[in-house]
Amino acid sequence: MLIAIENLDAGYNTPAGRQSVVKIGHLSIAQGEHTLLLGPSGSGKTTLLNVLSGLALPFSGKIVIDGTTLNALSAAERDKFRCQKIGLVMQRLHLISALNVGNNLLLTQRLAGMARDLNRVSAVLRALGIEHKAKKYPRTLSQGEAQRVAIARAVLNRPPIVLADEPTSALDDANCDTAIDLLFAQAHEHGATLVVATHDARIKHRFSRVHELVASK
Amino acid sequence: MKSFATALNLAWAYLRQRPLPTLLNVLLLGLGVGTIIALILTLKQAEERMERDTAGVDLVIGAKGSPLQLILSSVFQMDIPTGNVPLAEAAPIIAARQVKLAIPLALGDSFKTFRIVGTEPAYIDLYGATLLEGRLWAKPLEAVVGADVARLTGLKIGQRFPGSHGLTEGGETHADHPYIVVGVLKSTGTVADRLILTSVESIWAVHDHEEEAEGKKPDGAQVKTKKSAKSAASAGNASSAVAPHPVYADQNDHDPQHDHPREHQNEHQHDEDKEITAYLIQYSNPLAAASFPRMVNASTSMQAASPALETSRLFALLGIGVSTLKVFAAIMMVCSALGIFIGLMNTLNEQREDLALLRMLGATPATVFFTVALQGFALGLLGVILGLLLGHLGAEWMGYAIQKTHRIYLTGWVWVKEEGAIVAVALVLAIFAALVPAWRAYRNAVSETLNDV
Repeated sequence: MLIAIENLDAGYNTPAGRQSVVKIGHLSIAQGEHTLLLGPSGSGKTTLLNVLSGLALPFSGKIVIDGTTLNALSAAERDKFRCQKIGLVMQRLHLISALNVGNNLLLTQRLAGMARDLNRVSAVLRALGIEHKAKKYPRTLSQGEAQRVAIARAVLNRPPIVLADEPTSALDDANCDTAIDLLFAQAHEHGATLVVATHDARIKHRFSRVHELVASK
Repeated sequence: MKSFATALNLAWAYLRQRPLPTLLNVLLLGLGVGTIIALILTLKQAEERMERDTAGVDLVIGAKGSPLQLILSSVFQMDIPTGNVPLAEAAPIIAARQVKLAIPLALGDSFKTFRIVGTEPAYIDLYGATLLEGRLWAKPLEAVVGADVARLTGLKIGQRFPGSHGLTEGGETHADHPYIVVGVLKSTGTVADRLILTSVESIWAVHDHEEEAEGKKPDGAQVKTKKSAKSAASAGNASSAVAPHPVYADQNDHDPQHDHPREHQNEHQHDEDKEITAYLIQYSNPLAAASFPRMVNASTSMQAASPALETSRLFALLGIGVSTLKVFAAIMMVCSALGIFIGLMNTLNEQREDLALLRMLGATPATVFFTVALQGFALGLLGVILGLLLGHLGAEWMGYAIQKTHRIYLTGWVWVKEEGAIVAVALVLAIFAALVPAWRAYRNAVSETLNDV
């Protein structure tokens, strides 16, 4: 199993105490099994992505990714694990504003502790048709271009998992299709498994596996 | 270490992203640091210079008037003299057993604004000056020039030059009695560098003949100015009251030992009528400081002034202005630190998403902390570098401006240890200004989840 979740209880701390947002008894995702986590806002999609990527720890339960029990790792180990194993695509949180596209990707390599590899950066940008934007700053990119750069960055380090948080909700239908096409194509090309959390029902039919999240009250 | 380098890269990228606020922060800090450093450099050099100039001089005896003026005119060669004193009256005082050394000074003439000082070779020894070339004066009208004088006027050994009345340009020229350069002094970094030194007798000789030649002429405006500055005390002296050039050492020539034989002709006046501008005194015993000046002030028509006391009084007077400037500069530094703080807090909001993204890309909270902290530190560092540059350029410029009017040579190309303290204070201020935003970024980085973004 690429991802295995057992008896997960996750949420956030409030002054009043723990606020549980997402509870999952059992969920496992095999390699290549692109999965859609579908649910309305407040159903814990983001919380789930936080714990899956190791940014936050669950209250209880166990998360095993690619053979590693995530909640047994230290914070520093989780940071390292995340940048090597998980590519992230966000709704609008695409790029570091102060760096150009090429440097954004180089930074991604650097933070993951990987060797600086300009050829790899060019190759990924070329695959997404935005090689000519390498010297451009994020604010000069169109929404679609920025989305491509975000996808390029997610697959750059060849992670086994690409987590996407609402990758399409800001896009119109045509761009939405394009974005999903690109995500699938890149995931396929790099052998990554897609896990997409969204409330965007437009893309439901594209996934063989859909896990519905319900708002916990 | 690697995460630090990453943070440094990012911090620099963020600063470059906002060139205008970055520039303003750096400029503000630079101006504050620069002002303080320029002040410190100027004061420090002025103090050192004054220390060197007063070294070895325990007391100055001269005509009554402002003691500060006496010190300024005869030790620092800056102000006009308070007047002259009769040689006869000074003689018993300088012969007192408390006096180890008494160097006479006869002032009043200049060449291209460089003062011609009638004195004794002991004056040269006082400032540790040695001859670069030539020899000391042996006869009247032979002169030894200081290093700056030689450099700035181009006077060379064997060259003749006329002295002129007064200490500024435009006085009457003693064209009939040109001096001849016989020696050039090495640079000492003291007042001696900007003087033309000769024997007291030279001054007497020049003015004796001047008096003969032009005694009936009305005084020029220049001389009148000098006259008005003369103290009431020396005006009581008959010979100086009628003298056409009251500030000068006695016009009534005669030192039987040194006078040019020619000058003895037509001699009508007596040795007791000769005057001198001041004596620089060295005590034979430190205890003399307690009684000797009081004795001079109480029992003679002369006054005694202590260089140490008067310079500290001068600095106390200047100090008010200087500390006001220092306070302003300190306020500027604090303001710029505040500017850095406010700037970083603002950009923290702008950079919040970026910082969260950094975390998701695997950056550690420490990297996020340093990304923000280094922005503040870099602003501080750039400001300090600019400040050092401005401060030293400012001091150099001030030295250049002062040089034209006061002939005191200040330079911006020296380092003083107080600069280190200013640099440290400015950097600590910048670090503190960066610390709160950086800590908040760090806290966000630890707890921040995609929820908040």
